[in-house]
Amino acid sequence: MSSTLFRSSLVGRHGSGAAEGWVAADGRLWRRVLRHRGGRFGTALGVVLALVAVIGPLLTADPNLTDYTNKLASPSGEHLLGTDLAGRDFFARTLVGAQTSLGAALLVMAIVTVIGLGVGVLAGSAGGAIDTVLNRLMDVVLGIPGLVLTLAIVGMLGPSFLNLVIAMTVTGWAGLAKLARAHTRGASQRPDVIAARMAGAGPLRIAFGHVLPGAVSLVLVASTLRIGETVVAFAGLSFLGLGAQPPTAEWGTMLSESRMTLAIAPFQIIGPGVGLMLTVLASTLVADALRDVSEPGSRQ
Amino acid sequence: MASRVLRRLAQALGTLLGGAVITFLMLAATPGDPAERILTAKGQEAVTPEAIAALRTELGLDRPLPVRLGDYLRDLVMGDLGSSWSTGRPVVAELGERLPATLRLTVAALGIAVAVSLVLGLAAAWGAGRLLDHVSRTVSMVFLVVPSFLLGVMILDIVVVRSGVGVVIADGQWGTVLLPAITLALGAAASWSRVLRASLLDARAAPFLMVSRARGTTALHRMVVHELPNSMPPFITIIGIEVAVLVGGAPIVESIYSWPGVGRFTVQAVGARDMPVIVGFVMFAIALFVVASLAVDLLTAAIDPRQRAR
Amino acid sequence: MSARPLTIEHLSVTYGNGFRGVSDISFTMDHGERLAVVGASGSGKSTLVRAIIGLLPPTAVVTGRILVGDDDVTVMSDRERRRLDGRVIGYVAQDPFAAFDPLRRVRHHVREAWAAHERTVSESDIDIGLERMGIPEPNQRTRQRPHQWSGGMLQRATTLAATVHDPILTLADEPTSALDTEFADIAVELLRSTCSALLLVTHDLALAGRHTENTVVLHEGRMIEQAPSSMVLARPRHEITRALIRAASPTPRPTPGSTLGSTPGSTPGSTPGSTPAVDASGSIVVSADNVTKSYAGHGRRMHAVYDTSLEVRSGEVVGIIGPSGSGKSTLLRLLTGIERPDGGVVFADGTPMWDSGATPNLPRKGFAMPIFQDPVGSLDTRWPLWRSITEPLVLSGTPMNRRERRDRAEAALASVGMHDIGVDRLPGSLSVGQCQRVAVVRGLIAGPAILAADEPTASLDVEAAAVVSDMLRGAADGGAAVVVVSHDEARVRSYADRVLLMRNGCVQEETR
Repeated sequence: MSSTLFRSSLVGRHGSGAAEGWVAADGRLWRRVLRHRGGRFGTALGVVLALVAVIGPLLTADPNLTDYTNKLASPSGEHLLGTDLAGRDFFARTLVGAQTSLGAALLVMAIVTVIGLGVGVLAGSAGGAIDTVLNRLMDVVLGIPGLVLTLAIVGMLGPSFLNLVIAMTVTGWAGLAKLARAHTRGASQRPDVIAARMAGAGPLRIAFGHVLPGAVSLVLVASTLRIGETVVAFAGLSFLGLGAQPPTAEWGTMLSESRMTLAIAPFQIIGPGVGLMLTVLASTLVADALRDVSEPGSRQ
Repeated sequence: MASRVLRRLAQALGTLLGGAVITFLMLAATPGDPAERILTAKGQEAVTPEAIAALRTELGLDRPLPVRLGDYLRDLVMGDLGSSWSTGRPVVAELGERLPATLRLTVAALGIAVAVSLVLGLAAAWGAGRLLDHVSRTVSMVFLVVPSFLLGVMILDIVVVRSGVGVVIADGQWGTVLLPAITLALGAAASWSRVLRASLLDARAAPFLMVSRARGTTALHRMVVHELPNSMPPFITIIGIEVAVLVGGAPIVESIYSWPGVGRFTVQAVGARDMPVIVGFVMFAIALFVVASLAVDLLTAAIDPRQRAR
Repeated sequence: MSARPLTIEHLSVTYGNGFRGVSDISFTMDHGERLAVVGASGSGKSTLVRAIIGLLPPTAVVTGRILVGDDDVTVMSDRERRRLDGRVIGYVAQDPFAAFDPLRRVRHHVREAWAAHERTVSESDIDIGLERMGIPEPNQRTRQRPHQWSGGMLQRATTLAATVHDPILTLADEPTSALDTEFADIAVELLRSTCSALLLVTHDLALAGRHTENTVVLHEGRMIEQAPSSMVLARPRHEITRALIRAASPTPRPTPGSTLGSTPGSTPGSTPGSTPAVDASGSIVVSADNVTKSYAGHGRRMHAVYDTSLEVRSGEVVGIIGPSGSGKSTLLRLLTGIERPDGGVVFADGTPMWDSGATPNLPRKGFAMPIFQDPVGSLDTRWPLWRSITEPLVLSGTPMNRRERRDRAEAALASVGMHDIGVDRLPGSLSVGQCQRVAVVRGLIAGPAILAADEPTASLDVEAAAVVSDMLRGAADGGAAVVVVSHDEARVRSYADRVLLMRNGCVQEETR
């Protein structure tokens, strides 16, 4: 009978928890996020980054053009961020790196969203043996720390850009599936669903009208929140040589290449470093804004 | 309480078992002939087909899959993780030698993260809405935004190169653990401090805090006696979950600093497609995660008397 | 002549978001006086209490004066306030369970009243104080945790803690709302005997009348009445006060055949101008014959409903009351076909509801419609109101395009006086009371044969509860059969034709 003490807000970097507040109309949710100061800035930053990644490389010099006479040149008018060990323009490589790093993360998140949604809704609505099996599978995948499992799969397949994408996909779907499953499973007990059933709605109408929109919204929001950490994870593993391979311009590999000559050319970390930090900043700001505006107590 | 412990233990065992099955499947599915790789790694002059076949039989690679799974699990329980495909030595030996270094790193990082997050979180909640809060949250944000490998590279540059120290000694011992541990810990600390701040403010909004204020207590009394203890369950819970992140971050940090731990060894193993080593590391990570979750669960129950009653 | 315990002069409080909590309130309290501050939720009662005790958020703007004794608390620093809180001003919270730190023992809570002001107290003094409050074996019992105590006992302990320093003014914020009505009077009696000047905040005018000398009525932040309590009840000057009186103590609905010897004017709860149904002559809509439903739990099978029979006719409201756990909600689910009985038969319009299939055979879609305790949850959070309201119509075979649906929803809302609510709004932007009214509209729109309401007013304040009760009565007058499960016996009796008592899974017909 005691009133609940206080809700614990799990504010982890994984963006888990406090999720059900996002089920409500997402169009209006994003509008509220944009009204939030941090959310506005984060979204704007994210849009800018995306634009830079898409358009930037078209406007700059060739990132693969080597010029060994001009190795490790300091930033100048001609080379805004200097050149690397092979004389390639750092600015151009940073912009193309944005494409690679951000693109890889988006690819992973897109696939993971579809798989997570599909499996989760299937498990939640089918129930019985199918649900038990799928749920166990989710638990096992979630029981292995993400980066560790990704390492293992890359080990199986061999280091490459594509294999890293595959590995991160296999690692990433389970959390989203759990969300979708929980939402779908609880649906039959919801008062509004019971009312719909009593009014004569059939299972399909309930599924498409009441259950799926919420599940889609939930999963989309959850996966959007994880874009930042996905970019970092991808870059981190590429940094170790397990993802994108040279000469591909990718923020992680660029940071790795800079290690040897850091003493004489410290400016090398500016491009990829700032890129990564801005990405995480945008992601964190948007995540914080989402959490703030979907607090259970915040009714308009 | 006892039934709760038993239930959690059963759950833990289930996770370990599931992880073991998955790792077995990954091992079995990896292309390449394990026997051939081991023999080559051991440096035999004549890696003949007969030798390979003999080793295959010895390792039980010809038997049907379910039987091999059984063999694998049995070996696992008895502590046999197979042989490394790059060195030919037993995986348990390779990992075992390097495990203490990783444990020192992880424990040090955990300690630093808890300390820093407590300081930042308490400061932010104490000065909620005022300058102290904003400063603390900005600091947290900075730590949060810098990926660990970027931080490591920057630290190495500043500490080693600029200051002319020349080289960072990373011998896996407590004496040199500070820099790698800080690199590993800062991102986690930032994340945890935000959780702590949120929990503290949640507690502050609870009715019993209002009643305490109405009795005339000081803010410090309320923070220490009421807010902090009530924030411990969610704080400890998130730490338990994030131990997994710390373990996952170890390979990267160890590689940057050349810290002689299992993480760095595993990264090398990934490059060499040395699955037994990788799988051994996976099992280690799962076990660590399971232990941490169990500890957190029991600790939370011990703190909150309401849970004990159930 | 010592200063009055409380003087409020032209107090206004505006919150950071612009909302005016209270506007221009003035009144005083004398030593030992008992004053009730009454109003609906949102009327400013809580704001007033927080302003006095100093618990407003830092963004709130306060104008006017609040004098406790000689001190104006509106201009005090936090340190100066600390001197008053707990010693000169006492505070008793609304929900006794929420007033205690769940991690600490009860004794800690009580001792904190002294510790807050750096005073020591002997253990025996604490025990004596608790005994005087009516807590037996205080030394052992206070070593327990709050969740092991009952609400009433916790209320005593927290009242002691609030009054240990003999404050000249004690604020009691809705001290009875979380307690069963039996204990409400006891709790207020306790306050009266231990406090000097007592400011009692409540929504229950009758309670105020029984225990206080004077009453102040608030509405939307303003003071609309101030008079001796007996006068406020007998001769209310303001329309809002009259509405509060009506809502707080609904009079029972006259039974069929009894003389209508009530006071002139409409009997609360019935539509104006109508007479209660002389007899329930409507046809039987749903009936249950010796139904039983049990659940497996804790290793045993427990009977939620046992060998129970009842019938519901069109045009009547049947109320089912009883202690929690008596099976009321389960019976409702059996009557509406949401669940299948383990034994016995349920009939709908004369035909059995269940055969060998997994779904019930109801005469038509939307035969039975529900009203739930959680109004917001009973409407899909993503659907605009027009969609939720008209969905039953579409499902029962009336094809409508979007514009027709919106028009129909507007008309439906207007017919119950909610024309100012846009049909594009989402449930989340409505108040709980408004959501429930929308839920009733939605429930009735396709003309169900039976409307089943499970605690329809439990989450609502008295005003909204009265409105919803009227709507349910109106539904029955319009021909539907209405079954209401509720723990609010007084309210149910005010609009139901029959009231059944349910205990341990069995229904006993009430005779009056």
